[in-house]
Amino acid sequence: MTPQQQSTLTAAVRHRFGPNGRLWVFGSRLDDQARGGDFDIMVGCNDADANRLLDAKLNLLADLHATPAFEDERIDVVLFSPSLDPQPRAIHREAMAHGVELPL
Amino acid sequence: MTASANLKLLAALAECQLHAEVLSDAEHSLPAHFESADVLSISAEVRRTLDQLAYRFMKLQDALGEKVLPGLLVATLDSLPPHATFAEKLQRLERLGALPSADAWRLLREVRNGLAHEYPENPALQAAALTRLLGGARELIAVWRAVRTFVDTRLNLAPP
Repeated sequence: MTPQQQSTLTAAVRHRFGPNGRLWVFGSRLDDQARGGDFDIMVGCNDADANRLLDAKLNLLADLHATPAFEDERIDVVLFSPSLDPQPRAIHREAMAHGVELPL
Repeated sequence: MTASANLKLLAALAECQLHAEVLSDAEHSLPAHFESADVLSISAEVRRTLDQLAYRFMKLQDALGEKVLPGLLVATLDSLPPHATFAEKLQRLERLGALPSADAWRLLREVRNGLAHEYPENPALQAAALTRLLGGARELIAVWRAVRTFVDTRLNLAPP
């Protein structure tokens, strides 16, 4: 992930999920040897309203795909809300254990 | 606009009309929104209708985005730079009045891309995704109607 992509991503997540949101990047894009592939990110936000969370996710993706940094990139966003998932699922544990959390 | 481009655009418009009719029928036969409890007891009939809705949503958006909208740019003879980005094309279509909102179109693209995510372990997000798809279907049909009105009132596409 380029520095430009990183700053675009953190700004977009902050805009859509607020300053208390959390962001992890995980998967193949963390590996400098791996070329291309999807961007796997997890956004954490303690919101119990699933409709609002899903809308924030779709708006985040639309924002990112409207930028030169992510225009043609495939981005997979996993949502993690402890209100909706009191027990983190396997994908949540994977992102937290092996991903990198980016400060917002 | 060449005769061949004209015919291609007419064929694409007819294709969209069919997808929009089936999409609208499916949307009208489903509830306006879903709750967590609904997705835990979804009937086979509702599941089939949702699959049909998702399929026609995808087909209508693809036909509009890949065939009709590019065809409208040609038909309006509104020249763009040779390497215009997709964002620039959307803005141009919005300015011409052919597309109600470029931002709304981008959001509908994300609804379409999210169709594969079914959130199997989280009924609340499953219900939210189905509700958003139904809302997206209504919005996409509205976009189609606006495009159709633009074609009917601003372009002369009668077959030769």
